[in-house]
Amino acid sequence: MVRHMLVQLPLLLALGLVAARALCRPPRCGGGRWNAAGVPGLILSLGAVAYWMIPRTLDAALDDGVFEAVKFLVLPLAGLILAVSWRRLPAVGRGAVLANLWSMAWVLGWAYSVAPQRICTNYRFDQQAQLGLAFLGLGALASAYLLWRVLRPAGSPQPM
Amino acid sequence: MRGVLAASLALALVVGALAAGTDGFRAFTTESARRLAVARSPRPLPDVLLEDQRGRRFRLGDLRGRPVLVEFIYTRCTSYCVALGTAFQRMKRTLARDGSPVRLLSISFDPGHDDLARLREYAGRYGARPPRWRVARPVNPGRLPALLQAFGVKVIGDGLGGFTHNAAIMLVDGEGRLSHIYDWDAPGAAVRGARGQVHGGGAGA
Repeated sequence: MVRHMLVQLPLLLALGLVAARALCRPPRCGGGRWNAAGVPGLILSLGAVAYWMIPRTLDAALDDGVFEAVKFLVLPLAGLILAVSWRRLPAVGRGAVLANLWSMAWVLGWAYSVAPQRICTNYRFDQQAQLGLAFLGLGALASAYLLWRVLRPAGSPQPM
Repeated sequence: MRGVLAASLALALVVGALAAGTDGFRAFTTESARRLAVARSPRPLPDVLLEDQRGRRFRLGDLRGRPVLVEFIYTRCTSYCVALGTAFQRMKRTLARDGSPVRLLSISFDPGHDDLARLREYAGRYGARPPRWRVARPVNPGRLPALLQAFGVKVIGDGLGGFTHNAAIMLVDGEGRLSHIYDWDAPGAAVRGARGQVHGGGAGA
């Protein structure tokens, strides 16, 4: 379960990010005025990620080859759209997205580690708890990074 | 302006996809989707040949005409199935006291290990006696996947030589269709549901 959600899904997204780097130098494929400030693209790509993280969709991807195939097409595409939209997103937008992702890692970590029932029919209870721990770890790392970035005085590598 | 339009379209697309993938935000897990789908339209089941703890062969379809409460088990199980077995035991007592026509059926999804002697042992553990409560296994193990699929039961290895499965109490109506799924710890609700079908006649609501 950890491998599915925290390794496979990010790798599929990363495929799109790499493709964007190689194929889409700005201002190419930014979406023009349709992708104003990168917001429409961001909604689409994060929406796709959310969809493929629904427990039911995780199961469907394992039980149904068609779902799995669609996932392998959609997520790299979402990664590509995310990359080109991110470039256009203003700093405040980036901050909002990152802060949400980090807090979401804590929330998911908590939810998966305390859930009294199995959430996916394809995974065991212990695998689910492991995923919870992994999300909590991710949240902790990301929060530590955020603190370090914010508290470190600009230009001087002084410890907190 | 175009950006606002595009953002609205993107949002509509995302919300639409999430709604479509979750039955309108009502079922986020496979199990809740199964329950919702079954409650909405009762599901026909394959007419699999089974044999019970006494070695008597019967077809799933032979039980038509009265509601049947079904569980899937494997006799080595030491976790949920124990609680589920106890729930069935309680339902058996209630149904026997009422003289209800409702039947109970435990089906093993591990027929390779669960031979008739093991089914008998399991039945003895909970006081299961035909015709009220049959403990059975498919005669042809090749039919098991179709049976599990129709019921929406997913069995995976538990990493310790046993199994993990979405344990529940499943109500099959008088027409032999899967019509409702109850939590494994809600035998009272399951009995009420089955009774309702007896009095309501046929498939019920």
